[in-house]
Amino acid sequence: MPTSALNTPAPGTDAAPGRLRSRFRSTPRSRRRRRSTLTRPAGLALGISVLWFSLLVMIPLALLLISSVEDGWSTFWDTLTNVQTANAIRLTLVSALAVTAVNLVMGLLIAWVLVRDRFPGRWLIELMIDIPFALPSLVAGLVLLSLYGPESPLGINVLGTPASVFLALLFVTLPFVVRTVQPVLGELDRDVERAAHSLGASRATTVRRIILPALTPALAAGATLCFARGVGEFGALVILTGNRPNISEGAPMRIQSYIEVDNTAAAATVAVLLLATALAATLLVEILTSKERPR
Amino acid sequence: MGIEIHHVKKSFGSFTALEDISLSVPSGGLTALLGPSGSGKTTLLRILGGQEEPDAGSVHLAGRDVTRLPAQQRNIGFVFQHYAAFTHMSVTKNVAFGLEVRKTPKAQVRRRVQELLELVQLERLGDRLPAQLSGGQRQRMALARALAVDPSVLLLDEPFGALDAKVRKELRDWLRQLHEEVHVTSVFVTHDQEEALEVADTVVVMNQGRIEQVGTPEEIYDHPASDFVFGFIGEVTRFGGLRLRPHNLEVTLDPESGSHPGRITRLARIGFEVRLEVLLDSGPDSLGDSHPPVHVQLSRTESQALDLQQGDGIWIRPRAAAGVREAEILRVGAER
Repeated sequence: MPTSALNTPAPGTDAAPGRLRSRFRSTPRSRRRRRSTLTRPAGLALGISVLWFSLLVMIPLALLLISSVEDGWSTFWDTLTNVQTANAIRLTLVSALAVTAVNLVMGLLIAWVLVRDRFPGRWLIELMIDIPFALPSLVAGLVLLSLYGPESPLGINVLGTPASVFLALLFVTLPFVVRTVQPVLGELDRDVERAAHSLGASRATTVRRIILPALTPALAAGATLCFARGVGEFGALVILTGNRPNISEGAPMRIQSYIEVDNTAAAATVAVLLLATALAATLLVEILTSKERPR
Repeated sequence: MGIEIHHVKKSFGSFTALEDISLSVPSGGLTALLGPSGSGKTTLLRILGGQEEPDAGSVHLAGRDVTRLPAQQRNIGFVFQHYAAFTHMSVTKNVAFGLEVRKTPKAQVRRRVQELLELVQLERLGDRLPAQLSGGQRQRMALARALAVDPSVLLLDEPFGALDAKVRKELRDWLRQLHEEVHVTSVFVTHDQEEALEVADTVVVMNQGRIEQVGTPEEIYDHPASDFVFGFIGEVTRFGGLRLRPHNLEVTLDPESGSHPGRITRLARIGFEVRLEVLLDSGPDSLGDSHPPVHVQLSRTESQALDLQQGDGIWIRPRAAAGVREAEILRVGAER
């Protein structure tokens, strides 16, 4: 069984970053297979890359998979059906999905404003977009707590409610869609829109039929990153959510609790589920967006 | 009908792009807006296309005042220098776009697209993406897309500017032919005088936001209205105080009346044509002491008949007929 566990994750984990990268470039070329073009230095570079990747990602992942089932499948199953754990996982997944949906809209809007409009203070927004990236996520939690916590000047207190998870994820995932869409939008040829206008297309039609399809790969990449980060976010949740079991406790918190009581197998089980969901989302997005493009 | 432009003005900040343009383009013609960059030709085209609004003046397309009308409602076809292809759509979808936007019935769209793809000779490439086409094919697709909506006016912004020399030449001939078949009032912008003279039946020469001259290619070339047009429309060389076309100079081996001695400092053969650079021996006459080399164009036959070699001493003079007259007009113009 450990052997099969070792074999299964490798191709999956290998494929995911490649797919992500290919979507950023959005050329089909990266998918073309090349066999014998490796020169000696290139072979060496590939060897080092694979070794590096193995030591850092593949082997730890494989070991995680193994440890998730080392106490047997029943532990695996019991962990996932534990009410508190299941609620935590559901909350995390639902929040991550909702946050991804909101980010697709808001991220596109912000990217649009940054690329298309010139206004005083634009540089400031440009700078602020990256703050969620730059801040340690614990600090992100603190920042949000000051406005949406018990001492909120707005009178909004999310502490200990499911909304706190949504809010925390919203904050930390803000830059992803903006930063993936922005360069692609900037590169779009404005003449293409003018061409659509001259052919009689209204602004709305032009956005729907010309601009959005051109942005789809970038939006998909941003959404994937956003969802993956949302599923895995820990620091901001620790501060903002209050970790009330079944109410505001996210899945990463469950991992933490399992580790604290030395139940590695259960912790690994939750981790594997989160990992599998993120990978599945990546694959799904890839399949959907590649279908949309004609051959 | 056709296009009527009345007193159109346009500035960008302190830069005056169009000073006071009035122009009448006949219906069904193929007109070139020719000028150097910054002459305002593209601005004028974009005003016709509804992509810029004039500060003053009016534009009528096919009898309709479109001055304040957005591009969507002008019923124009616009072809861009860099194709502006809808990259995520197949060639067929690109061409169908304008019709689909107009909610044309599907069967009709299919028929019309097929017709146009045949017209631009892309009928076998309908399923391809624009990225899978060559530059020339992409521009033909863009043309089909623009023509699909039966525009009252076809506007082309440097349509061959992004293509290499050979494809450019092919597409030029092809555009000329196409225009004979389709007969839509067409205006194209170019900075290439050869292109304008070859393709258009009316040439509008522009400079610094003004129209310098409007005429047939022959009129523009043979009777330039200004010093600028003369200089822009073809090659010009100085022969003493005169400015004239390099092919209007005659080379002889012996002195003739009105000729001046000189030495061939450079001889270049470009296909059937021979280009000379001649340094005149300075003399006490009107030609002055310091002067740049005179450029002379000969046919290869002429050059061979005289057996010209680099370093040879020769005599040159303006040919009788058109060249001299032109030169004298311009001499007056230049001294003004």
